[in-house]
Amino acid sequence: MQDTPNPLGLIRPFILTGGRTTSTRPNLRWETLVETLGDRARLARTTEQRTVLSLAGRPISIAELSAYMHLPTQVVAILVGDLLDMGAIRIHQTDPVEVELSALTRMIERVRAL
Amino acid sequence: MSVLSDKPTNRHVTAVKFVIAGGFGVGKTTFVGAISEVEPLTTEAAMTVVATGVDDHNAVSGTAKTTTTVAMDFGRLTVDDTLVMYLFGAPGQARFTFMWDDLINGALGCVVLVDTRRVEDCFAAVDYFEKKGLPFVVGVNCFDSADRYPLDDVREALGISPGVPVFDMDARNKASCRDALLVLLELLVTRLSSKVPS
Repeated sequence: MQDTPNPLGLIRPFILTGGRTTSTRPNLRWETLVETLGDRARLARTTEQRTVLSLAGRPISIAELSAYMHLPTQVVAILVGDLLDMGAIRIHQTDPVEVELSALTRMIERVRAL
Repeated sequence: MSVLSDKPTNRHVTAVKFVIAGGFGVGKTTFVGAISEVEPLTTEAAMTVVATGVDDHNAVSGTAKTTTTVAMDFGRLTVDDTLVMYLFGAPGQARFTFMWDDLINGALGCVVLVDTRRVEDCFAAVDYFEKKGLPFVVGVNCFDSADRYPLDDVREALGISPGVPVFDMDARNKASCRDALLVLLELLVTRLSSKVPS
């Protein structure tokens, strides 16, 4: 374990979330996909929200947002929760039990082709 | 960036998560890199942990709550417009158990990488996945300097149930990583087929 290199310098990550450390959407996962809705990018109120909306023009996972924005996954989840509340994005999330045999078959074919 | 198609549509995109677990230096990142279509990315998960003084140099003796971060490498493999796979490399040692609830939340399954020189590094992970009912397979990574052990011995040492596949592999070899992931995917097919007779 090590300290995070913080690209924001002296700003602690959770300042960006108003001090909140948990998302209003507790079920957001690392692999949950975020997609900006149509012209909603204008709804952004902060630089971070703007960044999420610009990266999520195509579906992108919370983990990828976290990596590109150099922010912990929890901070991204809180930003995403806010954007959901604002109606700026939609999310794609699938429970493992909903993954059908046909999806597994497609994964197997894809992996075999590697 | 995503290679999924440009235009927002009403379609649902399914993202599935797989976990590659194992001790330090066992080849998790190499494994993720072998499957991923992009250079593995690194994410930081901030964790509030109860420091026990075992691993955290900031921890005082006794217990204290502290926030720490754990870096995780992950990769992505796009199957098609509506299906994308994510692979997360995750530390398997007992001192990381605090993060496993997040880790397996939504995960389809796990490949546990075993280094026979440090089998104990994955005791906790194997135990945890079994308790949680997360499907997993065990890849015994072959290191040049390590003695080879019969797979049955590894299975016994780790207390792995009979239904869990255990196999030799080499995480430095892309084909070997691919085959390991296929063993997991086929295990998932078997499980699903037995649940839902078609």
